[in-house]
Amino acid sequence: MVIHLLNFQNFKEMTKIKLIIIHISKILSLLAIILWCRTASAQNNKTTEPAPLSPKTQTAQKDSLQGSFSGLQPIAYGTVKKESVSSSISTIGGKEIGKNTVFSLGNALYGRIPGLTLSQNGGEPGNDAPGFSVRGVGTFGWAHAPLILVDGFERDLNSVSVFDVENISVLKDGAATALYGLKAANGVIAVTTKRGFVGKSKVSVDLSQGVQAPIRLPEFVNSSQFVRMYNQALVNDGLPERYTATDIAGYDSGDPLYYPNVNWMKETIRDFSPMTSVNVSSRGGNKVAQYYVSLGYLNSTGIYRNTEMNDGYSTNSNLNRINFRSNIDVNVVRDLTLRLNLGGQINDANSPRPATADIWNRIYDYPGHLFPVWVGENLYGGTSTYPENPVGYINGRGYRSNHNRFFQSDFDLKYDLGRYIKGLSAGVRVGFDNQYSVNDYWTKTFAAFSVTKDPATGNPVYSAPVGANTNLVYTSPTGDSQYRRSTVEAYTEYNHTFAEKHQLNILLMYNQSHYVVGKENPYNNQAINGRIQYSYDSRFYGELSASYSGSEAFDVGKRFGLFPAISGAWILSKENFLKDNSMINYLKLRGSAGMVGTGKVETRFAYRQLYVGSGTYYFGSSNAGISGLTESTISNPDLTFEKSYQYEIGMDARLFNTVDLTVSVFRQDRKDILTSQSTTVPAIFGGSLPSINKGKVRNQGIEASLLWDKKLKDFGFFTRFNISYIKDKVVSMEEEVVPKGSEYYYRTGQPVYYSYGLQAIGYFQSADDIAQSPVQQFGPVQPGDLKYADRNKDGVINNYDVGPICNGTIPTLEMGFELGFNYKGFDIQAMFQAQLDRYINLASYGNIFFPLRTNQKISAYVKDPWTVENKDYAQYPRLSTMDNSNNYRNSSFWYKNGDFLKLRSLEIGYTLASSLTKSIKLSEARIFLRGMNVLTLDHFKFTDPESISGYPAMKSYNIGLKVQF
Amino acid sequence: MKQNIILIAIVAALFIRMFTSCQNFLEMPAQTSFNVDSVFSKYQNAERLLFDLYQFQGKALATAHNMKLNSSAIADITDEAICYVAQNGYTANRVYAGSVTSTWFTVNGGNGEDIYDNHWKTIRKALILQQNIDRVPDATKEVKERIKAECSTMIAFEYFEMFIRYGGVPIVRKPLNDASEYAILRSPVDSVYQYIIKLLDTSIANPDFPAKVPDEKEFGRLTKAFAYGLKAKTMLYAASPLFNSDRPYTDFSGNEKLVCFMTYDKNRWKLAADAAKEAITYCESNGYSIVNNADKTKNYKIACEDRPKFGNTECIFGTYQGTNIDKLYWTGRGTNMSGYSPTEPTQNQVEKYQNTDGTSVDWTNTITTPANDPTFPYKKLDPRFHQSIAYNGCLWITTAPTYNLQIYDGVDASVANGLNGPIVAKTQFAYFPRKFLNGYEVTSAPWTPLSIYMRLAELYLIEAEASNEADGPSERAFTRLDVIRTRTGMPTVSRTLDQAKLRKFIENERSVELFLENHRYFDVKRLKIGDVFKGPIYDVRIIKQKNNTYTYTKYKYHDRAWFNHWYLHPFPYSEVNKGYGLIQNPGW
Repeated sequence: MVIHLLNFQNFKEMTKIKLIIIHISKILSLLAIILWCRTASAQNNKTTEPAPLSPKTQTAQKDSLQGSFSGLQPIAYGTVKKESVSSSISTIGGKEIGKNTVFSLGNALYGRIPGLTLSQNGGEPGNDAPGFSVRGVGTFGWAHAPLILVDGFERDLNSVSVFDVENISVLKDGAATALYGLKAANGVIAVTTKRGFVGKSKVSVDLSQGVQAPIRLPEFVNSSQFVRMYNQALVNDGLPERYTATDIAGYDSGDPLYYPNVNWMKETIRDFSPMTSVNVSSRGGNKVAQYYVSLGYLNSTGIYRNTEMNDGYSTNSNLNRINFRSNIDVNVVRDLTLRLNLGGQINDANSPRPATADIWNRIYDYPGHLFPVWVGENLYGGTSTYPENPVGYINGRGYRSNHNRFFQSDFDLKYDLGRYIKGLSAGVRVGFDNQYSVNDYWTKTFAAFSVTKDPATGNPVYSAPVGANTNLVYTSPTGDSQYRRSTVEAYTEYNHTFAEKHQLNILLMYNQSHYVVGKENPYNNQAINGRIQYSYDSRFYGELSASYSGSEAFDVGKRFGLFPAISGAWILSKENFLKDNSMINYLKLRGSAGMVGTGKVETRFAYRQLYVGSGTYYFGSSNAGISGLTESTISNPDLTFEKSYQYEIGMDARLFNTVDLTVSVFRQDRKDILTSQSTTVPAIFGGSLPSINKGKVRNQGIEASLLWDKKLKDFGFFTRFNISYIKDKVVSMEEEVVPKGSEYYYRTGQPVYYSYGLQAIGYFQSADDIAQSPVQQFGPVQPGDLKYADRNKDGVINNYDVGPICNGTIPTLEMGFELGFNYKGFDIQAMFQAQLDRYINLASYGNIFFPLRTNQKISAYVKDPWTVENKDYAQYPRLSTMDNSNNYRNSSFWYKNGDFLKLRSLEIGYTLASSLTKSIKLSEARIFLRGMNVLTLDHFKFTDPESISGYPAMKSYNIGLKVQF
Repeated sequence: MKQNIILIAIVAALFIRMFTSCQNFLEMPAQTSFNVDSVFSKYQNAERLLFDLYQFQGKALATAHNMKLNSSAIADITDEAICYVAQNGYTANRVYAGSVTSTWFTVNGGNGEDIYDNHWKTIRKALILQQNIDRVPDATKEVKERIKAECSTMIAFEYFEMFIRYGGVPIVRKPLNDASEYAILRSPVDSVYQYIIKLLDTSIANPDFPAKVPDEKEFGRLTKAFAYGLKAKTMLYAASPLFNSDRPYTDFSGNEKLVCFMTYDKNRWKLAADAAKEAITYCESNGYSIVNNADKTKNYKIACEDRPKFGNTECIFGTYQGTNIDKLYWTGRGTNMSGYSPTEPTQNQVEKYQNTDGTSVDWTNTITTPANDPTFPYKKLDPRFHQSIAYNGCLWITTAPTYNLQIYDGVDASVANGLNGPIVAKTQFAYFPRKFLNGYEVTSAPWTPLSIYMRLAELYLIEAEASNEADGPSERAFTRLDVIRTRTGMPTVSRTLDQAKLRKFIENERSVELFLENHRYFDVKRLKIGDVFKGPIYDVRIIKQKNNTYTYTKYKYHDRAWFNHWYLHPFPYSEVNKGYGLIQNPGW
């Protein structure tokens, strides 16, 4: 790696070195600060009283009989003993989260929680947050995303730094989420941030410096192959060849000016780019106040090349982030406690001026044989058909910078009324969040030239410029956006134990939230929630909870819904017949049933019929358009929320004192999903019809997790494995009616995101073959075009032959597998994630996989396209310069197996022996080497199987240091 | 203790405040939009509903603005013009290749020839307005009656547009509200035809429906003159071979009446001729006239491109769409106007123009011009040619500094390539459109053209054609044609033509007179001469020789696909699949 770093070929590469030097100096200066802090805190700590046990260390002294099933478990609006939980919640601790070098917290969760599916996005700095779904697909409705809470308030998951996470819980069944009522149908992800404790202050410093590189980039054929294939395509189209034998010979021998072979990917993309993360945090406190404060800085540089050519600015993608958090607990007066949490982030992201997708399309589309990057000193190559030379497109079009800031604050004032009524307390919680984002655009254009050889003199002749060089111009701030959210909650809680064995806990609360996005109408929610938890003898647990919650989205009288849930658990291992069993140390059975909803609708206030302004029509001879009034979407006064009925049974067990096992089986029935009527109501109606609550989806599955860990004197070992198998099915939706015999066309009965298309059965091999086959009505075909199955046997191939093919990109089976060893100070751990029964549709990425369509390139994925000579082993349909509407449509040919196994993180660390750390007055010091996304095993092998086109998904290698004092 | 009590009081007060102040917390915020009642409570609002009727029309009927076929003109799928071939995904290219489906042709998205749903949207709007206009308290009876007639005409217009594309379609007589009313099946061609005529007759009988917009400010609204004109046009289509036939254009057993009358009736031609005559008489007695100024080289341009206030007296229905919309979609690629060339006139179209002496240019062999005289082949052509098509050597920018087009390549490296020729400008073809761009050739000139839908000249052509079919060649037909020709400087029609020759002559005359006005595509179909669409489509290759002469060599550019089932449009698959019984046109 280091050798690679130093292996620069020209002066421009010096910028890399410059960057690295800058980053190293950043780290050195930070080390200096740390040393200074350390001395300072060492002096402060001299007077601290001996630390009592913190709640955290108390938890650590777990009952070995219960393994990982002891300790505390965060639940909706509270924390309880794990043992008493009868609903389905998975939690992952901050320690595991901290093992990831990620800039979006979501990226730390791959494979770690059974039932939580993430889909990886491209890795553009500041733009790499993954998508989430809890327990697969439960709806085809508009809102799929789970509810995300940070310290109990609805917030963006990526607003929290990995270093500030105490734990993340995924609340999966109706019983776990019932209190979130109208927002809970898609599951809940709850993040808890770190807090202070009573004890000696601790300061932690985390430094890491690394490099990132694309996991994989698509490759394209070279010029010499391209011109041959292009000629072949023209011949296939019945057109004369464009490249003569001389041209082809020219491209074979190559000439940088007249017969170039430009690899645009290489010209525009660096091999790697740096990333830096620094975080300093401190926690501690005394009986009156406890605190956790942290300050973090992140920098991630994009992978565009040659971006430092402009004076005074870089066009490269870049993210600079500063985040801070301050969580404080204060015992204000006797019985009154205050929690105050403040968190914020400042993000400044830079990128080339054109849209990211456009940049990548240029890189994919521009053939390498037409013109070189540079046709002369500082002269971009280009033609009028290809004026946007990708190098110029990235570097010569200016830049845009996005400035995004947010601030989150919440406080919780709790009064313990135990003095008056034992076990009673009441409190108020209030949260205020603000976000603001704006873009600065600095725009310019550049001129491109094509070059021909003067036949007489042999000198280059430049064409007239295509485009013009202009100066950088500032465009007034755009994309101004802001939101603010305020939440108010009031609660009262009652805890009581009677007759020794009976324990009762009652929670009653009111909740309202007010969320304003820009100039949109506010989103308001209101709810009254209640929960009764009862346990008998610490063996039987029961829980009844309900939320009566409402949303502004529905008509008066339809705004509120009651969302109840019931659950129970029985700890068998406390019964006499299992007590002190050497094999089964702990065994709990649990079951739940609940109903939750989602009140998010695509068209707001669709229950009202309005007449709205329409487009402009010009009357008269003036230049003044007149805008009309038009009937908006017909109202749906019956509009209501989606309801999700969730059932689950599960088991938690600890076996042989080493293995922790959790198994859950669940089913979800989603009803009242909004389904569009546009496929069933005739156009003669003439209006636009609202969606109606008629859709139904059933989703069911099983998930299991297993932890095995063993600790000896110098040696430790653990492995964690989880698996989920989830299948969903559309039970009812509004669908068009197809002719008899084509019933496979229907989506009802199939998974929501199942892939549909024609069944490709090979290529037409000859004109005879075409004549004898059913007519394909998508365009004229010729030998070498895809041949489709006549599914309904009606003698023609048309849209009615479209049917189910395979699963989509949401896997049926997902696994996570973690392994760790430690020996004395050394440790190594690896985290694998696998998704199976997952398919990629190449037709969605026509810009890469449809060769020559709309003047684009030929990717290296195109192997052995059909020709008369190789018709028996052709791997791809015949080449064509046309937009071949027969081949380029959804068919089984384009669906490729997208299963993968990824090594998401691999870490090797060394913790300095405590004797050594003590001598330099540190409580802990650890250095580590960490790789993220270092290995991908898959069938696809062309690009990353999750993030196919656009800014690529990244892998990274980091070296890091963590010290604590 | 004291402070505790205070705190309890504060907490209690907060609780009470929250539970009481939130009565309206979930109420939808005040909206500025209208509802069904408020919209008809004021004429000012109801009038805006009327304006909205034109939303889709403005775009769907565009001529100067091309909002269809990926913003190229319908002319591209006829022998009038060709779509620049680099635009592979364009619908026009799918038509050439024969791969067009309903998804490409008639489904929402604006890249097809038609948007089936929009007809019904406009019909619903018109029906609702017609039904409710009497509720408006602050408008006179005359105003309301005019709106009713305008709505009827608009509905007839929509049915006409569907009639010529789909044949028989469902007939919806009132705004639909309930799912039980939705299952309306296709009516036979005859019923749709009768219904259109009935709606137009109602409008014509309405005394409050003005012949002309009373005020220039209302230009763009439908008038009684249009109702008359549309009646003649509907009858022309009904009389034409596609519908006026005892057998359908392709096998459609059991459903033939959905695509043709299933009877041939010569009298339909007579009805059309008389309706056209009636319409012309009505128009001319109400202030419309064929543009016929002394300067014969400008009359055609005025009639097609100018608004009434600039002297266009023959515009019966045209719309105006603001400034510079899609100019680049109209202008030539690589020219000073740097357009996209989606529409380039063909050599086929050029050959339809006669010389002013009645002869034609012979393009069979390569034409070599005298030195420095690139416009040689075009010199004597119909003045309408010069106002419609831009060609090599023509004076493109007429104001100083003037600019002549150079649509040629040099014969070898020693002769410079023309700036607008295939090599430099990357333009594939030898012609650019000029119609609708007259006066807007300078790139920076704001483009404010007219989209013309119907003008008096068309009615003249309808009467000539229909009377020739009904009664054979007669002065009735000849005089109508003479007016159209002589006002642009062309000679009168030879009286020696027999019925078949006159039929051919009129077809050609329509091609020339109505070039780029979206008629040719439907003319070819209604005349059932679909093979015209097959081509071959010709272009001309222009080479500048060393001696400064130019050679013009006509060459075949391509053949195009044509299938008999293309005579009528497909209903969108998605519409057929709604399962209420809509029968798809045959072959789709």
